[in-house]
Amino acid sequence: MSIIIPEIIVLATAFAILIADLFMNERTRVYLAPAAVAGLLLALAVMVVHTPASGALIGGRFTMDAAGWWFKILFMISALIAVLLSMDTLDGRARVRVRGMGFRGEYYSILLFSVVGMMFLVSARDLATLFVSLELATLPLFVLAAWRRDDPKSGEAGLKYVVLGALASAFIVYGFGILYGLTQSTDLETIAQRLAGERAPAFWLAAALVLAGAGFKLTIVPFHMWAADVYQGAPTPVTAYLSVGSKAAGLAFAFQVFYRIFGDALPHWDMLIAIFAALTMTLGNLVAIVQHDIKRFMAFSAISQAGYFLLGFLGAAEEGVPAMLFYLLVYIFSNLAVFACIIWFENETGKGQIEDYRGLSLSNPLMALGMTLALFSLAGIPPLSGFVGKFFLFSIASKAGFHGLVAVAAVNSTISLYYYLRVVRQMYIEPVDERVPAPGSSVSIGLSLALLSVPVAILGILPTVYEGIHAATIAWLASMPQG
Amino acid sequence: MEYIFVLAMVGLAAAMVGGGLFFSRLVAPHNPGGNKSVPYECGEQPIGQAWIQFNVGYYLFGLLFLVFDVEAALMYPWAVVFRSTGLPGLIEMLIFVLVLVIGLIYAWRKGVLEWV
Repeated sequence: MSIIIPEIIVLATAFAILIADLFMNERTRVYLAPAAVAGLLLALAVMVVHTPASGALIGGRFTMDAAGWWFKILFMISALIAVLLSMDTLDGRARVRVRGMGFRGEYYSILLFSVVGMMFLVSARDLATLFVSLELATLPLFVLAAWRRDDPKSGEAGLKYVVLGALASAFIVYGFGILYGLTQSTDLETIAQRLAGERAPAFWLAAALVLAGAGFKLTIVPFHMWAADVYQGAPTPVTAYLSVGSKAAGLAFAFQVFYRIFGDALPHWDMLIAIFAALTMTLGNLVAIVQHDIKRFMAFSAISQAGYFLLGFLGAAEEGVPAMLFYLLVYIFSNLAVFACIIWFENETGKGQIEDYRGLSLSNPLMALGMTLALFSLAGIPPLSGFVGKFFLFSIASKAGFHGLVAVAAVNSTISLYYYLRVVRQMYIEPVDERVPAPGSSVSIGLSLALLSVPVAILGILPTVYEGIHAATIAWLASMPQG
Repeated sequence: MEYIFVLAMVGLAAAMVGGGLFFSRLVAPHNPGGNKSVPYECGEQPIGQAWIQFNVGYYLFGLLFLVFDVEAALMYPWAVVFRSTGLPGLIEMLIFVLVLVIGLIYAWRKGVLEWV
């Protein structure tokens, strides 16, 4: 029973915040964000105490394993940081007020609902629960993207996201329907057994549909079209959560379908995955070069990062899964650290162009340092954690014989260094813009940046984290029916 | 070869839709204009255009109605198997209803039920 307690805590917190919001006034509503943080911390503590939890509930429809443990921890950390980053904007502490941010209680509870959906997604072992939890994870994101009700860009982001997201969901559910038709079962394990050796045209159709849906969530080119506009239009704290939460959920979903349903066919798709990876990396990188808006820039950076994730699917699962999980960990910390700076800068100055970051190293050296560290980690500069994560992924593709792809990835990594350095150059080399008032400081954002910078700097040096993930995934793979 | 039926089904579906449209175009008299382009409002004389802004309250009432509609739809199959599920089934349904009631209370407190 203990394995479902973290989910119940997060869900109860979400409902408690929703109800508490009704009986509070504007002055006491500032306590809603600490309440969300407390709920998430409690759930995290329960997760950590029950390490390594494993087991099954409801007739095996809700299961817990070592890899799922890592995913759930990452989801909760992302949400925790997202709440910390949203506090200033929602409580009106930002110097440049963001108008039309709506009701705080709704915001936090919707965010928590999305986290619960992601957590159930990892534990789902049934087509129906898998789909419902995927929807529970993404529907709140549509609402959050359109959160600023009087901002047309936010509305556009929400509309684009909901229309394209519904299309992706339709693909997935159609693919699931065909899978059910082929195997007469909704249980993932049974489906995998009955699909072994199945190469009927309907199987390929189902695989293509599910692959397209997973590609949408992971922003794989050519299913990436929604990302730039949604990232740019959504309120910045929501973009921060979207860029890590949605990607982590997409990777969790990809793990579920690739390793549990299509585990038997996955090795035959490596050429296709390699092409997707090369396209995603290259397009994301080339378009990111010419961006001026920092949120749009981060959207294309996130697309190119998704291409690196795909490299992990090329090799043996024993190597690919820990490498992808580790890179996800690194990506979440680095990306959230960059967004912490973006949100803080927007709160203080109301500006969001890359050129506006001129001379930040003089007006606020600590923030500039944190952002530089995170950008270098995303670019993959040793000894930061991003380098180690990329190194593992590249070596997997190289071992699988995709030397050309590794060359493409390495070239892309160099290109990405150029545009990440563009931001750093603005902060360190360009002179201060006198017309922009010197930005102040923020407790919650400064705290989250400090919390994020430490793992960004040391995760690559400390081998224990990777070893932990590796041991966890070996146990996870051993628990799978067909290995 | 077993997929020939799927192909036949696709062809048949396309023929049903396309054939109907084509046949009606072939035999129906084409005579637009006049009263035909006026929006149909259940026999009433239409007032203004059909593209007007509605009170958002309609949507909120519609949403609340839908929630309880779906709840009632789920309760029918639950009632059928109630004898075999017993007390755990009752508790599960109570939790389900409770979640929906929270939604209703929320809407009520936020003033959705007041018609403005």
